[in-house]
Amino acid sequence: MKSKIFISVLLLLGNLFSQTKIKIEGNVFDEDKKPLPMVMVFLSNSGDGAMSDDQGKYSFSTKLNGKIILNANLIGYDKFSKELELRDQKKITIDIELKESALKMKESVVSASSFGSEKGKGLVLSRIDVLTTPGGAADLFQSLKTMPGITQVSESAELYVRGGDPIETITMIDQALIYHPFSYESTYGSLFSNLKNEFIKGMYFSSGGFSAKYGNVLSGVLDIETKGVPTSMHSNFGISLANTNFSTEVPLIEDKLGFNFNFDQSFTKPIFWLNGGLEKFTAAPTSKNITGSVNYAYSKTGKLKLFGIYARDIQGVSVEQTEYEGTFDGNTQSKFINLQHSNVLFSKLVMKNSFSVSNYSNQWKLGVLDLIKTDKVYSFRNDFEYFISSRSRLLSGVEYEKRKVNYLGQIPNNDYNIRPDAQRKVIDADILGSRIGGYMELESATTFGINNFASAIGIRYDNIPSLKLGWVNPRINLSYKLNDHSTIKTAWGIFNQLPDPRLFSSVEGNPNLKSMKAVHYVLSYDYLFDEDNSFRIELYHKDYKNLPLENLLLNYDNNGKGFANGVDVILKSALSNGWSGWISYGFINTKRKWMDFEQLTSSSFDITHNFSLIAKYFIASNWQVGINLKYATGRPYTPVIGADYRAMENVYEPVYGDKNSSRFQNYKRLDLRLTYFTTLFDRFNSVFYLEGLNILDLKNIFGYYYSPDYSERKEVSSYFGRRTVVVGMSLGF
Amino acid sequence: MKTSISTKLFIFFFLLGSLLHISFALTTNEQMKEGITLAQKAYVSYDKETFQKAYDIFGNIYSADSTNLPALYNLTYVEYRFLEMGSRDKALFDKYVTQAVEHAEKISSAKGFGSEGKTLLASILMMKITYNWAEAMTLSPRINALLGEAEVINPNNPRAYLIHGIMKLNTPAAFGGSVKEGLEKFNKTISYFEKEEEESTSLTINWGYLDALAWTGIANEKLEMTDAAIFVYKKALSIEPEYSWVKYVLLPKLEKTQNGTKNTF
Repeated sequence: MKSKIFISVLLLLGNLFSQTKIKIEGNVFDEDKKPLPMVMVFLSNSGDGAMSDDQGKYSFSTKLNGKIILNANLIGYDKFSKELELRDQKKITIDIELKESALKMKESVVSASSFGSEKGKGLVLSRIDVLTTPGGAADLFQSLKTMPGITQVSESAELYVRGGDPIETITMIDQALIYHPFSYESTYGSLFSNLKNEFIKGMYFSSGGFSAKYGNVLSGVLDIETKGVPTSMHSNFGISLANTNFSTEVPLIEDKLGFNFNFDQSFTKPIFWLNGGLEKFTAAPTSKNITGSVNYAYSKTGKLKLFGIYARDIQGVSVEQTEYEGTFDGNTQSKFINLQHSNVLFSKLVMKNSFSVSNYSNQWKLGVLDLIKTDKVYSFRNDFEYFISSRSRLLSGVEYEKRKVNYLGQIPNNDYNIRPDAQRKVIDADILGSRIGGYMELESATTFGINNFASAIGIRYDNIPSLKLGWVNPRINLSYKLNDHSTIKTAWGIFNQLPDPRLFSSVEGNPNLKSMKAVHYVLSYDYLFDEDNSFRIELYHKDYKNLPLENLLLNYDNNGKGFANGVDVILKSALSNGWSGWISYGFINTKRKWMDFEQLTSSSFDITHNFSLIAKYFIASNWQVGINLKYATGRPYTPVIGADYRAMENVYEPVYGDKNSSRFQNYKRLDLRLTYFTTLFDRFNSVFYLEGLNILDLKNIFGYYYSPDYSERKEVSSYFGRRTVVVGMSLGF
Repeated sequence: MKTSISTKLFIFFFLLGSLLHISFALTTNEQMKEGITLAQKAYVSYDKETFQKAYDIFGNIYSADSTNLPALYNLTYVEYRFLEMGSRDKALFDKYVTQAVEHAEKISSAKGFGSEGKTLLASILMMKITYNWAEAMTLSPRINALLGEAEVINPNNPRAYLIHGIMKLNTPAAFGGSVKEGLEKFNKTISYFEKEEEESTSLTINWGYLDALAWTGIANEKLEMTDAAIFVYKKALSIEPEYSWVKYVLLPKLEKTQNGTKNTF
């Protein structure tokens, strides 16, 4: 009996003893032994834990015993876990060293002249900015044109970056190159982009000094990431005077599988009927766009994404050319498909691969001109990011593209005579080429151990086997954070790009042309007031070399050159009183000796002053009014100063003055948008809008056409040369 | 020196008045504390009727003395909870939304309530967005500005970081939201709450700690840091074992998901 009592007492004591609290304490610090506050330190599967204080100290008690896992979590750092054996200790001291997560480096932005869609990464153009920019038609490219570094050469969606031709800016979607991301292409450019805003997850745009990962490009980069697996089912239906649209996001297996789909059909008849101008069209422009993606997350880090666009548009416009009054018929079809795979290997290596195919065809008919252009591109790209440490990473990659451009049809012998019976040349030209590229770049957040001094130093090599041509491009970006608000950045780099494929034609061009070359110098200062308000000023200089220049013997050689100097400024703001928007201004002086410009002359992209003001204000709850005010110096053009009669053809040939010696009138436009946000029937998130494009009916012109003998000229109005009203709505459900 | 009868009477009535005032104040304070206790209990069980009782107490005190700002603050806090409940109850939301905004605007401009008042106003405006997304366009900039001001006035106000975190977490990434930024705000909230020394004499409700733990768990879940989510949920229950949101909703759901995952393999 006594022994039983003794055992019971022992058990009771043991039980009591096991209930004794054990104190666990210690310090949390980083690799430099700097204390880390606000780190959550806790025991697995329990409520026992604490947060580290300002000195990195933590302390808590637990009644648990046995083998227990101690964890420590802090965003931006690798998770810490350690097994503890809790027995009869009164106190355990565990110091915790957290290693900065390698993936945190992705947050740093070194490059100058860039902006993206994510906050905390400098200058931001968010999806909501794109959606609500008055006059932007929720089109990414049209909205981008209000940002600094992009000149207002015309109303087209193409991006003229710091004095560069639009072909000098590339667009990438999920790593894949897309050369024709536009609809309604005509001789005056394209009006909108094919990439629908609903699909954009993130974007990065750079107008100079960009990373070595981007090759065969001279002026700018637009790098777009599309959405992944949808998290919830969501659909949207929209209709306006110009188009109708339906999009949906459908998760099939939570966080694993889902698809996104968008159908867009434009029909411009109602808008021209309401605003006038329908008589100009033999076939009012219409377009169709089907975009879709299937996303599959096969593991926590492994993802597959199949993304495709099918776009088609037709237009028939009455034209009044000097010697020909008829119609311009345009018919474009574009298909693009890309399969992207990404995964994180060995926790420090991010791998992304893409394989894409694009097939573009475009037919233009104007008088004697009847030309079909097809452009097929196969491309493969592999990018690696290896996180050497928490403060440095190595980027590398290879890419391969095969491009076949074909021109088939007939073109006029002389530009000045496009009558249907004019002399013509029949062409069937194939331009075939492939390019292999590779790059390597080292990024460091603390260059030479100096805090706040970030750098990206890279080099790339591109090779065109068929031309036996190769080039090496070194590039450097440096950034120094002066304080929490101010950062100074500088960039230098060499950039090469092949000229337009048509210049490689063995008949009309020169198959032995070399690549064009540009050297960028950029100096920039960013001031971030807070995450919604920022300011940037940037100075740049670009030197162009090896530009294609007309040559009597060879058709073209590489003796062209040029330069672009300028300054870009932007102030972007969202105030608590309901105002938001941005003001951007760009000054540029750019000259080129290229193509048929025999002397260094103001290039056609030399738009001296570019000014944009985007302002949005909530006039009442749910009601927003926005304006988009644009002003730009008139585009240079070469005037006609006389004409010679060609008896053989019974036509006048214009005599031109000095190249680009005149300018069109300055470009001025004010767009107004009134938006009403509401929820209908407690279910449909609805947006109603009324938009007035060129509300002041200011005259802007594309060019001139002339009387047959060139003695008189008339103006060709721009797309939005007259006041245009659009109404529309969208329902989200 | 002789004291006149009138002076004596004056002193008598002055002392009597002071005594009555003190006893009335004591009663008011006790009522206020009772209201606070009820409101805290109501939040734990998420019970509308208990909130209503607290609301009536604060309402009576405020009706009797419209200069009683702590009463106004507590009243507005309960209205905030009604709006929170009203995100799925239109009648409840409509009943309280107008006066909640009016009260919050008043308290946000009251001396001594700058940071807390602005935070409460931001919370109420946030509820308006929850009820009607279309108001996000108008209200989000205002909420962010209010919270910015609240954080400047009192950088240690945990509730300002809490509401900021909820905003960050629930805003789509394309519109500036971020789970990571949300979690950073929640961690800050918890850290400030744990540093705070609660004054037992305080006449304003000290709310948000349990919310912060729950939201921290949600953010951790979204970032697939399940261990951390379980920890904060269990921590919340160790502080308040009957905390209904965690006890009946968040933790069981997470455990169910975990078990489901385990069963798959």
